[in-house]
Amino acid sequence: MSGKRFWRSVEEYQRSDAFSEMLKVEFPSIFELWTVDRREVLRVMGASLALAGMSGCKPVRSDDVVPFVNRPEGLLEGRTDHYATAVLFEGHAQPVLATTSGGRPIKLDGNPEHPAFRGGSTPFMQAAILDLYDPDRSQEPLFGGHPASWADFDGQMGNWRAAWRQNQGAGLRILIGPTTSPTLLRQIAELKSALPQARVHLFDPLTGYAGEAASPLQANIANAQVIVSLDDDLLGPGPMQATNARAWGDRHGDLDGSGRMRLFMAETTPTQTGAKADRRLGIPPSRLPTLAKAIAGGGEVTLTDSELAWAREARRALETARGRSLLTVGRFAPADLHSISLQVNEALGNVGQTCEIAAPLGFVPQAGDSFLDLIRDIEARRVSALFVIGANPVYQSPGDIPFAAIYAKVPLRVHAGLHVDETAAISNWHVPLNHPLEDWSDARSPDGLATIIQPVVRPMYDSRSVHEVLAALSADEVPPTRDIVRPTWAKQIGDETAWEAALKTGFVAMAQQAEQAAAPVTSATAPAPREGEVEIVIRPDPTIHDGSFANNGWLQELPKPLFKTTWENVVAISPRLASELKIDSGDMVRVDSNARTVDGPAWVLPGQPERVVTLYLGYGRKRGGRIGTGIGYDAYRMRNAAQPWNCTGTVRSTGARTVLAATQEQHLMDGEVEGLVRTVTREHPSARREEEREQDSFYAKWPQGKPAWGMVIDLDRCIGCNACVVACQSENNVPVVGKDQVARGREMAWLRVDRYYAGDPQDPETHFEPVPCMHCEQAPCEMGCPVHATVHSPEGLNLMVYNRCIGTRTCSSYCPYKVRRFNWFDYTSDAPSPTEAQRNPDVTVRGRGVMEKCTYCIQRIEDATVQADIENRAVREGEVKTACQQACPAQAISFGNLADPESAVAKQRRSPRNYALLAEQGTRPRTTYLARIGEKSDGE
Amino acid sequence: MPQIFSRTADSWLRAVAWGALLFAIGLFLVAFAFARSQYWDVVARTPLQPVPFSHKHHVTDDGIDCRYCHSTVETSANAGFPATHVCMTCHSQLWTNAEVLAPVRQSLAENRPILWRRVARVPDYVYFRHDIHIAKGVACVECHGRIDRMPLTYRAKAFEMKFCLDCHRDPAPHLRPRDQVYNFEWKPPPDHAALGRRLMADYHIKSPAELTSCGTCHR
Amino acid sequence: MASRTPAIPLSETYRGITTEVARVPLQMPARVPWLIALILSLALLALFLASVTWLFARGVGIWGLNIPVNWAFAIHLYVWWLGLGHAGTLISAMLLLMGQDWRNSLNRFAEAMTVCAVICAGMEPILHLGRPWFLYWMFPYPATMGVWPQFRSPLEWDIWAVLTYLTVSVLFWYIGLVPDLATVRDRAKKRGWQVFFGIFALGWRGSARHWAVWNKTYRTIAAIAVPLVVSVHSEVSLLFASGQVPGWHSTIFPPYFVLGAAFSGFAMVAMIAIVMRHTFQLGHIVTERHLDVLAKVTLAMGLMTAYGYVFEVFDGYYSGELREIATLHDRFFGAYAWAYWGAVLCNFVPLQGLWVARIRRSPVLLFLISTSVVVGMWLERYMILVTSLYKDFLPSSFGYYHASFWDWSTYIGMLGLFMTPFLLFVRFLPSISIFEDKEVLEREKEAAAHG
Repeated sequence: MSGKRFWRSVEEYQRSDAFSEMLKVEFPSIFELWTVDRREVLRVMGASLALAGMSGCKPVRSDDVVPFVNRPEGLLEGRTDHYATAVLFEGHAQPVLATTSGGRPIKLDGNPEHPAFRGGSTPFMQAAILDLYDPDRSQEPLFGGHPASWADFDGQMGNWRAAWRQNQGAGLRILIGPTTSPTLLRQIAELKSALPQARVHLFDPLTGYAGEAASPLQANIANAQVIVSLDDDLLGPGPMQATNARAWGDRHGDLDGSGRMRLFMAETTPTQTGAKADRRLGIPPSRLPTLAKAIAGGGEVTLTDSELAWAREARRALETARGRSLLTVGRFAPADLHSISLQVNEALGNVGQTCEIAAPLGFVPQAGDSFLDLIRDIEARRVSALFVIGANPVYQSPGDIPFAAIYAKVPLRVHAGLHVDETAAISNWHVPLNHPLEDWSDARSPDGLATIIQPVVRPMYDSRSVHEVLAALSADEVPPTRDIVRPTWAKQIGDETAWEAALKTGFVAMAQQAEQAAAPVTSATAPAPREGEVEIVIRPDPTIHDGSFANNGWLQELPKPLFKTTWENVVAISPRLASELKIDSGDMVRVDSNARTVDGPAWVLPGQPERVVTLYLGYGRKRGGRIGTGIGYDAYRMRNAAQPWNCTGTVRSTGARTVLAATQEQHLMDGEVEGLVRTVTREHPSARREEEREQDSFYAKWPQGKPAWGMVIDLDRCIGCNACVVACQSENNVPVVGKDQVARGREMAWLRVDRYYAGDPQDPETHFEPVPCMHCEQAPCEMGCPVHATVHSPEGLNLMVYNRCIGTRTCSSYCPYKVRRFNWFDYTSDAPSPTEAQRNPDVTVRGRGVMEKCTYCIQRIEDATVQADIENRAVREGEVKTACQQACPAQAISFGNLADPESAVAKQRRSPRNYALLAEQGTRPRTTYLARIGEKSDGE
Repeated sequence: MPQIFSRTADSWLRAVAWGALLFAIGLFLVAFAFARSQYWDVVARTPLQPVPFSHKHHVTDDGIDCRYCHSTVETSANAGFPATHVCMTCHSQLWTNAEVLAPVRQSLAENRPILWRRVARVPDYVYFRHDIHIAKGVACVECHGRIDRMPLTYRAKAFEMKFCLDCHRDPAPHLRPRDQVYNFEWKPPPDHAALGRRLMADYHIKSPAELTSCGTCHR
Repeated sequence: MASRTPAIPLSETYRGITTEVARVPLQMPARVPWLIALILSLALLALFLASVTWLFARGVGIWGLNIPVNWAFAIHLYVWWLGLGHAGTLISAMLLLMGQDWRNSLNRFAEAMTVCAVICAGMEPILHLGRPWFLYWMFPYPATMGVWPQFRSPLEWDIWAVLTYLTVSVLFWYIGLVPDLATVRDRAKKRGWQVFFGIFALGWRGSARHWAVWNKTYRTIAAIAVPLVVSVHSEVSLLFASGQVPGWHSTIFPPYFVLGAAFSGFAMVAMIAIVMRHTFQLGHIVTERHLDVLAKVTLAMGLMTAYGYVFEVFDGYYSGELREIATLHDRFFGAYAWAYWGAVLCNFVPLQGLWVARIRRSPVLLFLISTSVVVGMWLERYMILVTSLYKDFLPSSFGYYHASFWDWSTYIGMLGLFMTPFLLFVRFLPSISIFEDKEVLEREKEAAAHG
């Protein structure tokens, strides 16, 4: 099966000659004298920080035992506890199950009992735990940038309250970040009744500055058989990623295609959704409405043949699946598109089936209370006091609003947030807020259910909850947060037992009042580019999102799903435009729009519409914490308040070059990828090749002991979201090594998601392939080690004994999959306090000079095995879940006992789609793959 | 030509050569012995504890069961250290103002933990679990020695890897009926071997291959 | 071998040889150049120590290593140094057993060079460990851990190969040295020198019994040394051949490595021979004929190595393995093609000059050619290591290797570790075998008398 040639980047597609490569490869070396100093960023992180309250009176020696004075009820040393709670994403609840050990949270996973999330999680949910331990969190109130006390603040607050009582809060404005907390909404209502003159504005950079409402249609793709998405990144980052991915997984990986979902994606810039779509179309934003009209069947439209063909097929598909189809429109798309999708779905009878008209879950300011209105009022000197709560407008304002200057015109500026960020820096007062895991609150997940957020750890710093801060605006006596949250639920959850139950299950049903959909006010149609201009698309960064995760090492070092770059944002540019402008990935380009410019490294992105350039938000922070500050470019500067997502402008090379810390090598020849990622069709479902038949070997087969652990990864389900990667990092104490080390090819991720392309670079197929350790039965690594540091267990695990390793690195040289990682330096001992508190006590923290790799989460296997052994029984199916498997929202990873023919993993092994990576090497991997199901197989 | 060396020079040369050889061998033997010495293994040393706690008194004289203080030994990897209030359950009645118990009372008063020095300790990269060993009929005494006879607690066995392996390679001789696990006075029956074999079967003890697989203790 | 031109001119007298050689340690001609060389190599040694200190302080990360290329300088230099050492043993032991007289002027310093080179080689794997302080875990000793090293691992054999080789080389060199030490002892004027040489001469009186015993021992050890030459580098090659990495997983490796080793070794000996005969005016003892023979051997070894190259290519295509062929092409045209072609160029092109007798006998040209060979073999080892590792199986984990500053400083510094002991040897010990050369002269004179 040749024919299809795989490749992974444009440089690879257009070969560059060996000599120029030699120059690139060999000559920098001599000059890189003192650059060995790794991770300058993280070195700074090393600056330790005394933990308020935790600084002991007497130094605790390593061999001291510190027993309780009174052991808390039900606490078992050496065991972990789980609490259902939630973390926030764009103000939406992401229901999680928090694992705590000895009272400290160490891991977050999707709440398995939650009907919508069903245990699935996203990279952001997984990484939220690190934000809790962020050493740069604000720890005390600041007045004019100098440490102050809550007492001082409360004192001031008293005077202000008195004044507001006089004038009913005239001049008092509150600018609040996106929130869905019923309690917070209640408090806002109460505040308004207490101080009628006060006004509450919403600052939501990801929906729009003009007080736009999100799309009126609440998609529920679980019931959809045909989805036509107009620039709606269903599977990409967003509050619904986990739920959508779960629905996706349920409708994929099944050879009898009855329940299979067909996905049409028209995207203005490549996304994960586009990568997985059955029919993908790249289209510039200016033509998206035309395309929509074509689908709606609205008269004459001017489209290219390919666009027209796509539209026709999409239209047909929608009609064939009336009531079970869905036309969905991205949050970034202009208003008229939303109304079109509303019409079409109503016409097709999809409303109520695959989507419903839902009132927004979150806080919506009343007319005239948008962010832009606030700006107007400040200019008009109508604002005397501005409380910015859980928002960072100074950083996130569009380029055409000089908010810093405007903000300065407000006499009293108070900022409440987790960090001393750009806004805090120029406020009179900054007060620290609690991390959601530290205090009571509540919020609603995008599916409409509510979650009561219960604290899983005592606040680490002298901070308060957002509810307390808000309450203090009108009330002299502020009750503890729990007593603020509890009343919200007094009606619904009366007695304490019900309350306990609600906390335990982690969600509360909540009526989602569905009135008539308000005509959505979203940004106007994307402007058409003038001659010589390109269209500029602005999107949240795939891992740092709107910038709120900038100080999160895991997400910074997480390869962006499509680029595989880390630690900075890139400027995505189409292959054709790149060759036209003689630009290569890594060249610095200058994007110019409305006399505002940014410089960023270009990334030649296959599938990018030809004359479209994509910028990514979230970087270029000036006060983003010790690792989030000063990396990447700030795309907010390029936004316009009226039109946050699109603009037009020019792009040109600056002539400079940067080294991108990409985890996937660029310059490659074609053909090498053949057979690594496979696609089958329902007609020809067999992925196994003739030459890969079970062959006799001189070596004895590895005994299929009881149990024989194995893993199967379904490439048809995998959406490349990286949740597994972060989950693995958080479960297994995998260190963050910094941009410099990643650029040197020293990233530590035990599990990586490889990204391959096939076909025409303008419109390629994109494949994701997660690669953990294969746990080969005939492991090449094992015969190389002189000291028995990597050996095979009777249960078929390829063990790595860190404390025996002397670091010859033979195992990695011999490993055909290159899944082993080496501690080139001491990556762990100078991790900043308090991040060590997150470490998993059941996993050894590796020191310098030892090899490490995926263990199939042996600590979990051992736990289950011992428990079963105590009860004198075998380990049950599903009792052991690896971290990656548990995290995967699409259920793409299954793990279990191959020796048990009834186990899910054994069943999948028998699937014709099952194939092994590099099977011809005779390593007999325990990790195998299920080929992707496509409409044409690799051969064709 | 004058002689350079005395007559004995040759003998000296030989002596030195042999001496060097013997010294090398001796050095190896010393190192060998030292690595197995009580000093190196921190055996039979009683560190200074905040309170001179006597297991002998509490276990043998008072007959308190191990689990009264080490309450999680059957349910968790850690045996569990007694919280101060556990001590005070008795000592709020007995020896209420004994000088030696001052730190305990102080701990309760100030709600500040007592810092005991750990005696039985394995390296961080060793994941030992009490619960499974108890469940499989491995007695306290196997690793902790006759702790019931220790006025001051000390490490009875050298916690070298070999010590663990010896048992994991051939568990039978170290097993006893589960109900005798906490009994320090238990005497093996004459046919201990047979008993060992029986318990191996009854408790589904794994094969040495599985027990000595690195992943059993190291992750 | 009956050759027309005698290895040592008949005009030489026994006394002449003795004085000529013994004066080197005793009076030391060419003091100044020697001092300059020593200072230089001590400077390098200092650099080496600095690099190693930094290495142990920070970790192997200071080198340019990464995943996939997690072996580079340390390992390829290990192979290279060990290769240089080979010639010494070959010349001394094998030729001794084969009764090749011409060796006698070269063997002594060739052996010394071997010892120094093997010491350097032995350092490399230790430096390259992630946790060198646990090196002793590679030795099978009764550990309290109750575990043993893994004897399947080629690295485990490495330790033994190198240690054995070092011991035997040292023994062989020293035993060969004893009679001459006695000579120098007797000619020494200063008390200090007398004692110094006296002790190491082990009371040698040159009695018939001494000679008998000495002969037996010397030849026995030679007999042990010869197979070692083959075994050591075969073993080293298995370090690569054991993995299934394309470009390594080949049966040609053992002979390929041994020949390459001898090749670079002889070149090295030629270089040293030329330098010494020049600086110490030993022209009568290390004669043009010696250079001639050395050149011939180098040429022969070079051609056999070239065969290895050719066969590797054939092997690759013959296997039909896609990845083998890909790696092969990568060596020809890939990012590190310069290393491959550099090796071919330096190893085999100038070498062809040695077909011409005049070039073989011209010290300058021979020196240049030998240098290019040593460099060429350096490149070859680098090429074999890096071009195979940086693109092995999964394109997603391909990655380039750039040698860092510390890679270079450790390597260049190590040249000091090689030169310093060698220079001391030249200064303080008879660097050319006196008695053996006398034997040669003796035999030659007899031949002349009868002929």
